[in-house]
Amino acid sequence: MADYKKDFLDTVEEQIAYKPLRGALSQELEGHISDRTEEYEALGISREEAGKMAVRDMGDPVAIGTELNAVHHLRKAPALTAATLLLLLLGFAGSAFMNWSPEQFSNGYLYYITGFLTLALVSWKGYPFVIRHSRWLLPLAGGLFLAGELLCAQKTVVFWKIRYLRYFGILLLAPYLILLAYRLRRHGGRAVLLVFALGGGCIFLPGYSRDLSAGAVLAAGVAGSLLMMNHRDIFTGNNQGRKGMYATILAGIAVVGCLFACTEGRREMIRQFVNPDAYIRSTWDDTYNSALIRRLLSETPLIGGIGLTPSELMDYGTGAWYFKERDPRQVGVDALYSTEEEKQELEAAVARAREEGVLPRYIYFDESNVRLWDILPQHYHNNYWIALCILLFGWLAGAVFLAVIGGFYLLLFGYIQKIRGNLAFSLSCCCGICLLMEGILYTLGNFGYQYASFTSLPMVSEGRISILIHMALLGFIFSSYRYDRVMPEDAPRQVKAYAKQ
Amino acid sequence: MDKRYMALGTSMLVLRLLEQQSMYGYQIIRELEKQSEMVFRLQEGTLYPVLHGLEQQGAVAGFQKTAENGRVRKYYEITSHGKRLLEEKAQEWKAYEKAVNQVMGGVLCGGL
Repeated sequence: MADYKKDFLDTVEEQIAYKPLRGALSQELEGHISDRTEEYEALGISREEAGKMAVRDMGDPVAIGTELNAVHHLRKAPALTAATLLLLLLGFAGSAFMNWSPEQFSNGYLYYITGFLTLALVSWKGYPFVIRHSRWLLPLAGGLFLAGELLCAQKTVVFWKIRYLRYFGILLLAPYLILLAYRLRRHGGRAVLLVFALGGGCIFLPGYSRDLSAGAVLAAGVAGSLLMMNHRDIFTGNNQGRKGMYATILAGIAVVGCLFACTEGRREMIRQFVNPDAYIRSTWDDTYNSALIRRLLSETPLIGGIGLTPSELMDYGTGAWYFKERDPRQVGVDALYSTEEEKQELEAAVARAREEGVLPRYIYFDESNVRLWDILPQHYHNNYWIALCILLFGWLAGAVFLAVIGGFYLLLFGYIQKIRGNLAFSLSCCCGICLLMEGILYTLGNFGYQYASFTSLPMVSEGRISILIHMALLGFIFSSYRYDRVMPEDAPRQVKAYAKQ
Repeated sequence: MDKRYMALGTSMLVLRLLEQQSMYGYQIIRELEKQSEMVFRLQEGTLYPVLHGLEQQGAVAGFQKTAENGRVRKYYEITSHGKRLLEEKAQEWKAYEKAVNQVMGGVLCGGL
């Protein structure tokens, strides 16, 4: 008898391509055969015959295995992979191109290699890792985050070393909170309120004002994912129903939204975002860069780059176009000198300006050699990729660039939508919204509407840390899609054994 | 019968049974036979691809329970998404049934 059953189960297992799943599937089928065998035995049929009949009742093991394999198989995402690689290549080529500008040289572009490796690693092992280790991963990640915050609160040397990581810590808080919401999903509205309380509490901390763009990404990622989770009825065990849950989530969004305007500093940040012109004090301000970019974009034709005379280039390069009539002290200082006397004159002029509270901008070019690069916001070329594309090649090229980026996001969310597993979907949705929100804030900044600190354009405009985080988020989406059909999202819930009669 | 309608019928019946109570695979087969007065007798193994497919769609959720004989069984329970899906499948089935009846009725009338 054992041979019939074993042969049957072995044949089914052979059809399942994803080997780690074979044991669980086999166990379920074996239980079924054993139950049926016992029933036949109870009818007085011999043990061997009963086993044979039970296996026969199951049907064709090849067909069953093949159908189970059709349900449970690893999936590839060729279109998304191609689009991702294309954009990474674009970003890599762009970084190399940016090195034509000396300001960008120090950044290098080799971090694209580490980014690619992160993407590959997380795509390969990310989702299974989270599934298997989420029980200790949640407290560990929470502890690390708190430890980082305590270090930041001390404002010690360590704080100055890790403060740039804070932005990304906030970003990663989004999938963390969604994982938490998923684990507590059976508590329905209370799980949602806890997540909003934790996320909102983080945004409310005064130290986060500088990183409010990360806060906006966090809020969008969490709120959007909670809405999508509710749409899929992932929250159970609540008495509110789907509509009640929507009301709870929307109320949470409203409260968290208010936190972005809860202090005068934060309200000013919003005003700077909407109306940067009113907040320009010097050429060093981001608001000035926004005004400059808008002005230059308005002069760029549909096809072909912006055409400026050397005189116009100097006007923009020194800030004279804006400050000549307003505060001439803010116009850049000619830093070219050929004699010791001229050098001393420059130093004296700079010292006088500093005494007046002016931070002078040094100008190392003149009408004979000024280039477009010289007039763009210094050191920030990476933050204006889209604007730069328009300035260099015209609005049509910029529109194509934007369409490519938009197409990528459409493709990304198309894949996320196909993920069936609730946990895989929830986390992927969150990662996707975070990447999208980063892209939206970046794009707005490129048209002169910058909110809080700069964000990166995932894959295209990256830095050493941002590329690691973005590739981890993207890799997680790949991984969730890949393992969606083969990995149970939860260890099966155990219910107490029957009480013996 | 068209394979699509076979699959539709099976998953609809499974969801309907799970709407009554949570069950494990063998129990579903038994219940199906009992309630249909032995009309629906599946090749029993074919139930599992259907159940796993429904689980992946989020229509049913699995959990484990240990029986008194120590056997660990995987039970399935219908989700709220599953309940909506059942309604949709029932509508689809009614449309199919109506169409079959119309054609069969037409043929029979024509023959009279």
